[in-house]
Amino acid sequence: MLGESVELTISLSGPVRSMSKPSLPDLSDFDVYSSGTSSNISIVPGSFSYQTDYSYVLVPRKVGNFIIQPASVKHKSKVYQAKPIRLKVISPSQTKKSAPPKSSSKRKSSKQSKQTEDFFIEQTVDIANPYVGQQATMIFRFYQGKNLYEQPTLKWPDFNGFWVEDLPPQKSYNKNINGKSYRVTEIRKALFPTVAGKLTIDPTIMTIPPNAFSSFFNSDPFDFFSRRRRTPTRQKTLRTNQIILDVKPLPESKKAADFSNAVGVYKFNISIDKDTVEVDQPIALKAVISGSGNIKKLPAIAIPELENFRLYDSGSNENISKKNYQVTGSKSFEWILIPTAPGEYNLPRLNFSYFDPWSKKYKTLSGQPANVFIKPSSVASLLPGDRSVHIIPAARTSLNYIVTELSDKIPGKPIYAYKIIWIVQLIPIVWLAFLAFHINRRKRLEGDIAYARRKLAPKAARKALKKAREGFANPEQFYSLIYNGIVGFISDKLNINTAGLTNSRIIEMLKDSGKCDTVLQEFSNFLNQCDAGRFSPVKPSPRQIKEIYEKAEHILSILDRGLK
Amino acid sequence: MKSVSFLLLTLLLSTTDVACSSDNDIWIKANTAYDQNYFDLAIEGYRLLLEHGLRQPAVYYNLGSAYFKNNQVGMAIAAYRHCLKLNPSFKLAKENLNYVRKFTIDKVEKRDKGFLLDIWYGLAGILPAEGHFIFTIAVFWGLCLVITFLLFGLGKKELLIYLLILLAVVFIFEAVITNFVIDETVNTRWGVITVASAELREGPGEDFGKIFTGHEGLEFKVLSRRQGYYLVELENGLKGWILGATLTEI
Repeated sequence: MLGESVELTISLSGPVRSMSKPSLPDLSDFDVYSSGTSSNISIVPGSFSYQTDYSYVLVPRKVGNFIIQPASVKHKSKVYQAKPIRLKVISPSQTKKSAPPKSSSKRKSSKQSKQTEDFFIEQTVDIANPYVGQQATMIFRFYQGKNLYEQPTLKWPDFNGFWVEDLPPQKSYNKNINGKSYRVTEIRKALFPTVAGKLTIDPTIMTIPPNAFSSFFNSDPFDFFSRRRRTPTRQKTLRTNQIILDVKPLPESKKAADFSNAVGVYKFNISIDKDTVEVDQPIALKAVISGSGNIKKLPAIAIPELENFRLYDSGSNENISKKNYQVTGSKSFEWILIPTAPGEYNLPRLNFSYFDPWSKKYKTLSGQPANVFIKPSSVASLLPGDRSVHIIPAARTSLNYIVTELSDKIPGKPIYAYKIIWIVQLIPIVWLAFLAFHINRRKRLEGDIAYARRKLAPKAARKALKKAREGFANPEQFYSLIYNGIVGFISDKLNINTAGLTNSRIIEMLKDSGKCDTVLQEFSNFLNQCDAGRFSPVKPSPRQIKEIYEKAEHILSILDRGLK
Repeated sequence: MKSVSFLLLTLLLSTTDVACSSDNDIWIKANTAYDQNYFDLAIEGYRLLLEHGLRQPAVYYNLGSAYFKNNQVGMAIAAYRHCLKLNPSFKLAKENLNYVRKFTIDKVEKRDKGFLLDIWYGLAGILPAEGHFIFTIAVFWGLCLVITFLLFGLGKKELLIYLLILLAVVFIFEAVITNFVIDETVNTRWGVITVASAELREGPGEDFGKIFTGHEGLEFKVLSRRQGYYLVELENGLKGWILGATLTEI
């Protein structure tokens, strides 16, 4: 029967495992869907036999007698063909527009045969001949007599000529048909025809994947061999019939002048947020259309230009509900009005026209907001000749005049963007650090004599050497100053008294402080040389004085490093 | 007479002439155009000066005034804010900006930040970023001076210690505020709607739901940019995506 499907199976069998896919004959009178392949291997004495089945679902497009030409397959340059198949397609026995919908399932064309099927689908529309823009609800039902272990897939038609809204939630219930219990799943969609005439809703196609309805656990758990040989079930394709709606055009008579294709049942409400404001203060004007119909496609409300008001469109908002599978809700339009002059004003009446498909009449709703009272601005104007008391505003009531002088100075970076500014901030930090160190040192020098002597020793010794060099004309004085400078340095460094300090004692102390023998020897020689110089009547030559002086400096530097 | 003036001004501000004119000439001509109510010509002149690199507060200020007189509230706000960005203490620009803001349609209520944050933002707003910076530096140097006095043992020690604690607290607090204000000034980008109206959407594209319709002059923080859309945040904390072509970044 037209609208139902048949399954075409092409079986290839033989001793060869892999053969090329058969080429299908011309099937232009059918919609063709592949429903999968299955393979089977059987063991016959002495050899294997392979069978591959290619399955297709054919949905006839028209009534008539058809011959399905044989499919062919080529193997080793030989073409194999099956026999042609005759197929008769008859027209549906009942009309589609008002009769209950027909389900489609393979090999079933009558209601009786359908009732023995495990799965079938149907789709219906609640209104067979709606008006353009009127909601017609399409109900899709899936009847399942067995459990499914995989989700079937649904392919909805294109719904050309309709504005479609899904109508959740999906509904499930049980239904008994001729003693067989079915689980029924209902999915609804709201269809709003956009044009008049005969509009076709194409079939919805459901595909149940292979093995989705044959449970592995239904087979005998002990029959291992039969489980291995179990023939898998094929993919199943179900198809509803197509539905043709006769969409009525909206009547031309008594159509309102401002009608903009709104169809449904609506209410209309106008409001303003404030009825008393000052000049330049905004008023929000709101128009709300609520009811049932295609809310999203409701046309904008026209508002005329208003004298003494600046008008700004603030857009629209929708609030849609799909309760009880009916598209309802509201659409609000908002404008901002800025009054430019004081006074009492009637805001204009706003109209909304729609077509009510139930009463089959055009209706016009109108609303007018309350009058608005615009007060003068609280920042009073000083009109000439006006002798009343005025409050002089603190804020400006007009624009400052432009500046006419162009500065030569181009504004640069802000002060904190200059690195030098940040570097300069280090100066007080460095200063404070230095100050803290200096004061700390001074305090220590004052309070700790040993520390003070140790720290000041090099300076005093160098001072003594310098003095000796200046007075080297007198050899006795020269040697004394050199000797005293060096010995004084050691006594300061070691914080000991110079009185009674002999050369041998000095050497011992240096030895205790860890000086190596070479240095000690050098130092001992130097002290002896100084002693000899001090008490010798022979005047040293300038060369000798220079040598002694350099030696003294050398020893001083060694001792300075060693006696920390 | 007015039409003759208009013709003259048009000629004066024509591209070829301007190319030869000094910036000062353009400035004078643009001001003359403003005085004679040829605001679109004045706008053209001020914009030319900006294109020539004369990015002075005065140019932005006059441009803002010309835009406002030309009924372009959004562009006027953008120009005044540019001016104040360059010179935050430009009093005339501040006054004009406040005045022009009265002509915007959308009044955004400030988000209630809480008592402490209100005090914080209040203190931060007392001075511009440079003012806070200079004040912080002054406090810092004062602090160092007091420490020097203390180290040298000059003056009354007790008094100096009290002064030291006070200055240290002020310095720390002011340093944090300065950092905050500089960050807001340097890193925060602002925008303003410069077309009649623009949709704020839930995402960067027309397919996303509309949050609300903003109108010319609506100011906001610009948080990020994606696919030609800007993610913006209004003063009341509301965030949304707005088409880049409908706004001007400040």
